[in-house]
Amino acid sequence: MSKTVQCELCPNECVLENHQVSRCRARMNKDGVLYSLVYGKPCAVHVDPIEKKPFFHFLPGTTAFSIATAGCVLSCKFCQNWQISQAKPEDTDTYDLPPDKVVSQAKIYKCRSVTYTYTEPTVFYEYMYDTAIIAKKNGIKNTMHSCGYINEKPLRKLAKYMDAADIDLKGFTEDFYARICSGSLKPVLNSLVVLKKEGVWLEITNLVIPTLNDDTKKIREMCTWILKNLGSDVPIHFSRFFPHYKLNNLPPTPIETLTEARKTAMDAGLKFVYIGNIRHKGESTFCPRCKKILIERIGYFVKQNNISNGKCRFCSTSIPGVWS
Amino acid sequence: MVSAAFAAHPFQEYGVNKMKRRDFLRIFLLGGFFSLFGKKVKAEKKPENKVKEAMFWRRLD
Repeated sequence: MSKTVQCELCPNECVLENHQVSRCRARMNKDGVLYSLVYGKPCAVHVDPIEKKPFFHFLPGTTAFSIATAGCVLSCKFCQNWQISQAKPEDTDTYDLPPDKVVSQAKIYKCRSVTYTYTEPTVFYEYMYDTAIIAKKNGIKNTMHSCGYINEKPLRKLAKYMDAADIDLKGFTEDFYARICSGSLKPVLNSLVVLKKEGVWLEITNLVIPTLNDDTKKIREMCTWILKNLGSDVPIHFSRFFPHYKLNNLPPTPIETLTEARKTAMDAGLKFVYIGNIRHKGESTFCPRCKKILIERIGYFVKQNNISNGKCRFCSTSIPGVWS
Repeated sequence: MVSAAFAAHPFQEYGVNKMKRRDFLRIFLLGGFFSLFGKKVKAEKKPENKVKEAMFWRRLD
């Protein structure tokens, strides 16, 4: 009998001979059975403000117990966490933290949520899934920051326990995904639609990289797609790029490019458009009706919150999000 | 008794090097007896290097 297996977790769908490791480096075929190499072995464990993920419409001002293991399904040339995302599990320092301990630690640190982040949580799917079930039973919410490069079946199964997802929409062309990330755009768009349909609170992050994905026309096209397929309530974060990893030759994103992207998105009809990785008024939430400031942020710090029972305190407009 | 030659040395003045076999045995047995009342501490077991079977895969026949 053949010992070759095929992983069906992400669109890479690696075909693995005996003792071969997947492209994400987190799964291995041992004698015809596929195993996770990172279950219960996070290489990063932190308590972060939820704003860092970034989630701006999900329990503002709370902390998230954040975990990650080594590995990633993509190979982005601008990766901010490449030291762990592009590493083998055996090359990282790991903790022994089984799912029940993640939840008990989250409780000890008074975190309202567990966030699966830093690297790509799809690579530690089994760990995330088991943790999410225990967290939900204990009244702790689950959130993830993902590239959305995952097959539909596992995503739907996970969505039952996931309260919120921040998906990186890294660009809006297949060429960008192929050349810069070694992936493709279509599965990411599908994941966004699936998450929305499954009722998971959704936010989108777009890292604006000079010369690679900062074309206003493409940004408008992306925002129009979001409006049409996900609605105007989905927050989008335009994040500032800094030279990193294999893209050290590019300059940081000019502030004008970010403000232009924000204006383009708002003109397209999106109600909640943010600018990240920079101190700017675009970090704060404004009421789409009365235009008054709802949540004033300075970095990850919430200075004031004028949302009461999910509504604007000034004009009573309902503000989409998870507020309690 | 300590000889006059050894007595000159300050450390041997009190006969500290002169523990007899019988004294050693007495202290050894006494120590063993008291240790019976001590709390038993289990040595920490190193967690097993478990690998979890993955979800979402199939065998290619």
